[in-house]
Amino acid sequence: MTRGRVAGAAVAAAFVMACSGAPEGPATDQYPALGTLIEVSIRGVAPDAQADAFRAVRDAFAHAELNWHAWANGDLAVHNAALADGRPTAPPSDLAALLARAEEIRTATGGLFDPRLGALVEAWGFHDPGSAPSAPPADAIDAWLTGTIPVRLDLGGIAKGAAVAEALRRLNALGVEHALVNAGGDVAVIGRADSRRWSIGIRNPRGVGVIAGVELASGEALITSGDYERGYDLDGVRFHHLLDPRTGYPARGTASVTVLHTDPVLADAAATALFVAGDAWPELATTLGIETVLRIADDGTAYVTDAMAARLLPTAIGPPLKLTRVTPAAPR
Amino acid sequence: MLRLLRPADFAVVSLAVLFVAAVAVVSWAPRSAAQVAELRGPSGIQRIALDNDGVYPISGRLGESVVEVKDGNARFVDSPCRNRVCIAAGWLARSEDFAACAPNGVSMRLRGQGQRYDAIAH
Repeated sequence: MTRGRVAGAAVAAAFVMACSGAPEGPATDQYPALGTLIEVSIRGVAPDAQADAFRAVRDAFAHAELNWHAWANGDLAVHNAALADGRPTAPPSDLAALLARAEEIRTATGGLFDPRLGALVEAWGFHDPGSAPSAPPADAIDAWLTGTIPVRLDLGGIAKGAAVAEALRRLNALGVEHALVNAGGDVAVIGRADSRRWSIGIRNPRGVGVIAGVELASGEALITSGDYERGYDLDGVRFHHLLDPRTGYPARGTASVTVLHTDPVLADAAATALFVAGDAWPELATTLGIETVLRIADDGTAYVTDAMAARLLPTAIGPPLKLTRVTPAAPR
Repeated sequence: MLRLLRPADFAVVSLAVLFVAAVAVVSWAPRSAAQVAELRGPSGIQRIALDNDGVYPISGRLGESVVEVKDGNARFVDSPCRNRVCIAAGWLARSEDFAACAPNGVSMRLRGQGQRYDAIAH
């Protein structure tokens, strides 16, 4: 075979390989946990090892659901019971670390992220998806605001991020190099989808479609908090689970906040705090060192930091998202 | 040069230009039309062509959720949860539109030929 024919055959072979269809898709798993839907995708894992990988993630979420959920029968419930009785308590190391992190972020956010909201969440009925929609009486909210009822810790604003981080840590320990874990809007990835980065669609908080996309690099997390996820409508008014600790009522003015960061735990808590902060979100983002933020206001306006504007990919599916750029002040 | 061309030549060139323009529009226009409803539950993935009108059950952790497919759209019409968030989502019409019944562990995403995401931050 002449050199020309060899070159031609190589080109033809390359063309055939390029056109031979998309690479095999990831193996996936899906189930409910932590009050939302967990989706897991892994790539490059031998079929006989996939079950172990998925089991490791299920175990991580089962542990979080039992032990980091205030209304389950695990470690946090035991801790809360001891707090209510005024008994000394020493939670297991994983819970203790998460409680310490939550307190650290509560301080950093000036209380806009507050893990002590448990009794208030319960008064609104957001702890139980099956509870009848009913706003609590004003005196129940006042009791919480004035601190006249026992503290019940609720890690709902941070547990999903922590569980996602733990799930990826376990996958990494098993040698999984490419994975995506999505806990109802808390998405984190390692590796790549195939020849490209993992691609995430950000949901329209006022619809069923996607408003923009983001491609995540390995080790990044994209966390969204929205008023559509948990809550109910009463007399045409939406009451959602993202409570403002300053008023005791659902925070107003924001439909969703999306944060991109390498720390899923910080990003999860920050998304909640920035949601609650409303128009004051840029200052809080600066305080927290969060640079990549998308906030959809209640009126549909999409506010973005410069860093997020550089990461958002327009969707070819719906109308283009009109962005209003906000440049947070430099840290003092 | 133009004098060498006959009216039929102009017609052929015009048709060719129109053909190229039509191909460009079809190729590069945003592809939002969905073709398949992808139903995911604890027992796996079920794909239903959106030109196949009907009512389709999908088993979840609490029981059976029900999806209706009609005129190229799809929606949840029943689910064994109490909040009925999935039903309130209404009709899904475009590719990558998404709705889920989290308590039942089932979700529906429409798929088309165009843009696809590995996950929806919902």
